[in-house]
Amino acid sequence: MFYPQLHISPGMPGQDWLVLAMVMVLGVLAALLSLILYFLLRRRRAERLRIRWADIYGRIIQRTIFHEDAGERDAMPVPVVVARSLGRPQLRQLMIAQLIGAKRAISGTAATNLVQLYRQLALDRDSLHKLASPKWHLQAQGIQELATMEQRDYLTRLYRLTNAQNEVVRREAQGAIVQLYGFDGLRFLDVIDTPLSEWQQIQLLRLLQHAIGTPEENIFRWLRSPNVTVRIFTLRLIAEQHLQQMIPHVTECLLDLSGPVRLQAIRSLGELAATDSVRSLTSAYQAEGLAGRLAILQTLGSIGVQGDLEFLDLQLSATDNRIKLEAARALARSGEEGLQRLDRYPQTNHSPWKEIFQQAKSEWVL
Amino acid sequence: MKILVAEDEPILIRTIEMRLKRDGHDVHLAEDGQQALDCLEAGPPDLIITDIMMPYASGLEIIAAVRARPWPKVPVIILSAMGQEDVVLEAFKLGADDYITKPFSPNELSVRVRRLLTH
Amino acid sequence: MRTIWFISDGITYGFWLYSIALLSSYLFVGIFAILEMRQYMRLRSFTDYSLLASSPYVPGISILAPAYNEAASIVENVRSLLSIHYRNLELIVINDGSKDDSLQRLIGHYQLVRTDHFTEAAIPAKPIRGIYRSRNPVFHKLIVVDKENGGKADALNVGINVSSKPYIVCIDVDCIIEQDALLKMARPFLDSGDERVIASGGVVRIANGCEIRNGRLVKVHLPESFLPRAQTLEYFRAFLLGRMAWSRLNALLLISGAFGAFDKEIVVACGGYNHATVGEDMELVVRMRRYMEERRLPYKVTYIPDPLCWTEAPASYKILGRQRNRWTRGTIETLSMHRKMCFNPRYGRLGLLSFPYWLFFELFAPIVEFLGLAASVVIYLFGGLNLVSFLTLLGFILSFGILFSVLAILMEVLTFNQYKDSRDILRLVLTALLEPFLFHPFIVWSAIRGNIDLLRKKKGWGEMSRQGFTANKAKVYAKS
Repeated sequence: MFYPQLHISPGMPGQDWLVLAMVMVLGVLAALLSLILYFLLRRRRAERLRIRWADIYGRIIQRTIFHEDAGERDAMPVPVVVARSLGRPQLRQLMIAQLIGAKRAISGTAATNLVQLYRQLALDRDSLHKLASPKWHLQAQGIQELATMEQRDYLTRLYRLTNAQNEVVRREAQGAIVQLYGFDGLRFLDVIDTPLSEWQQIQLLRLLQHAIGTPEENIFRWLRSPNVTVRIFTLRLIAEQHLQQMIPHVTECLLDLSGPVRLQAIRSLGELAATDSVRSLTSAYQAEGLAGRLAILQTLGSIGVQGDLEFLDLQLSATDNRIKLEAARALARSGEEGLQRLDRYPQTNHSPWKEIFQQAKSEWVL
Repeated sequence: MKILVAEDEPILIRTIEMRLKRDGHDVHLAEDGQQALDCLEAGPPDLIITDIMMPYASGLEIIAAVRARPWPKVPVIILSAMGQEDVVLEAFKLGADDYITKPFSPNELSVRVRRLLTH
Repeated sequence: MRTIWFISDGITYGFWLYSIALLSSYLFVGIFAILEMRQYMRLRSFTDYSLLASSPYVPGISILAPAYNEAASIVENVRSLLSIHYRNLELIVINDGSKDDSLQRLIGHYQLVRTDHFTEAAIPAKPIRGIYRSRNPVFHKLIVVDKENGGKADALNVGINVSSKPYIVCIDVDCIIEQDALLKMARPFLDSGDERVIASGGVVRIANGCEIRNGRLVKVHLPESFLPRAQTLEYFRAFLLGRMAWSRLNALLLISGAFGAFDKEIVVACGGYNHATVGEDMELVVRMRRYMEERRLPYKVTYIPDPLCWTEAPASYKILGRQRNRWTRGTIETLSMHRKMCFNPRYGRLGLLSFPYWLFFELFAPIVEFLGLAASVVIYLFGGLNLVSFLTLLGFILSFGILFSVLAILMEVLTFNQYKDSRDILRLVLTALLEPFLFHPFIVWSAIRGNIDLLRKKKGWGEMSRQGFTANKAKVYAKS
């Protein structure tokens, strides 16, 4: 033993182990510190590289955006030094990122030029390479890149990935097909048995915002899908795309077995300003719970219920104050007659109606 | 014509700048809401192009600030990724003259700018 | 003589065993955190959060910001909160009976008028004196509630009563929130599936020393002085390692007081914030989890490690001491209120893992340290201490602690890398080396004081004077 021992209490084993452990800890500590230094240096180098080239690439992209007459294949002007710089993978990724950023914001001929530059620089190979990676996040990134840069040539690869093991990859692949093929890309809704998360629905609806064509033939099927989330998504799609002709079918969904579906149907009717569905909404009211009732009242308020103010009047005497408030709001929005009904209500000067009516009326003014 | 462009995405703001410069305009850039408001201090531009979602102050605040000034009517074009009806309506209610959703075409923007400036 | 050696051994063994348990838990935390963080960073690398900013299907959020005597900075703070990117948002500032002119400043700057607002008092709270909204449509998201003074918990409950959105985010009004913060926090609520996400916690970062312009963080710097630096390190350990690890196990017990999103329906069902404790934020999360466990409802509490919220950390030992004192009392009160959960298999991982961990390793640790040290001194004076083994043990624990801090620093460098200046990272390493000597003992002492004060029935927050961010700005410019 190499250290002086003071009072050696009997039965105190493990001291050597302790020293060993401490040495190990110090060793790991030293290793971590070196790792920190290493990563800091690497960061610095990568950052310097990025700064040097980001501006240059940006200018190339600008020139590409404004390039006229891009008929030929390798028509985009790219200086040799830039082309050579793309030998480095990090810089290629930097160029891809900038192209993606630009492509997302710009449309028209400028966008076509960007796609051409992407292919000209063979960056589609990088994106494709990512699809083959075992790491799911790289696959997902590759999918996004190919979809944003409109690489329809790789459809089969993308389609295969819609059945991938990893949920995120599946979702991105589905989104990619929709991005490339619009409503036709929604065919997977026929077979999907996993739920569509809210996030994915938001993504798909956004991708479909600028899609051309109409999905009508398929919508009938999707509204009857056994998958609840597909039904909800379809109802949202109908509302976003302003498919007025689907209103009768949306109204049918007020009788759907699933609560969330009925709720979405109510909301979609509001967005479609479905004045003819007022009767169906009021008849569905009784069977609904609180959430459904509130939604119906909100929808009635936004549609404008000229004919059925009596119905709203009745709800003013509901026990739940939230119902009272929504009914009052709907009446306040229904023009002169609605406001008069509020004033003529028997308890209009008693709490809580007094405060509720005041809020409903002032909101409309504000 | 003096045009104020308020947009926080660097690629976009440069694209718009280049497009407008080619059309012969005098372009002032603001990379966030505060810079845009500061620019307004120097005097009224002939046209404003602004995003909605920006740091410090939103495009809607910019419109409100412009409309509150005793200047002759300055045309304002909104350029935003948000295309929902209620946002568009709100922008027009506050006084916007045009609303372009992203992704947008620079050529189309140029035409719309010309249209608003010749009125 | 023998007895003293025996006692000495016993204490050393006891100390040793406790330390091994504690350090092993750190080890597990480290490993889990790394795995969870890697997954999160990968997901984040290609997620386009701007999709959420404009979608109407993203759930509505009410930001609740109680304010008491913050007149110096309140207008600026509200301005920065209003610039948060989120469509379906309402910002509710609750003036908790401030004695200064906070309300008047807000009314003046934001063109507020008193409005009629029917409030269902779902949670009992002190009366509301008035509700104000802006005449200017640009500020339509702002609602200012003026009420009688009742403390932070009460103010938050009033905010809950007034709010109309399904999710609430409770913040301190002088926190600086990143513009994308809510987009990132809302994401877990959209992925949920079977398990209902009842709460989503965000990271608090230390704003001392950072450049702040117009209520927004422009550049991140390490704080100038040692104390906030040590706290920065502490927050790294807690947020990058600790919370990430617990989140992976879905056993996250605490959501930071400064920043968290909650499912309002569950909050109301649980009865809102509890006045009876100074740790009302922690207590609410525990109660919400308990509510779900008792009803056997599938649920999740998630956690976002992105830097989303920046706050000013105490820069003096005195104020830091008060803060830690309060935190300790809050923890004890919370654990005591819910002691039924301890080791109770009915509460799953919460009862068998989180609760005991919090009790033995967070709460008892300072006590064990303090008593262990005190006992060692006594035994040494009696001549029974094996000094070498004691020092070796101490050295081992110290090194492990430093190791953990350095791991947290490495994690930061690899993930968010907020401190772009490499020298700041090296300064942090230096801080990690000094911390066990200059910071940790003080924290332990404050915790002990907290225990003592609780036993003596001290209540309340004490004076927490804040300099405000404008004062700090002057300091930053003075530095350059």
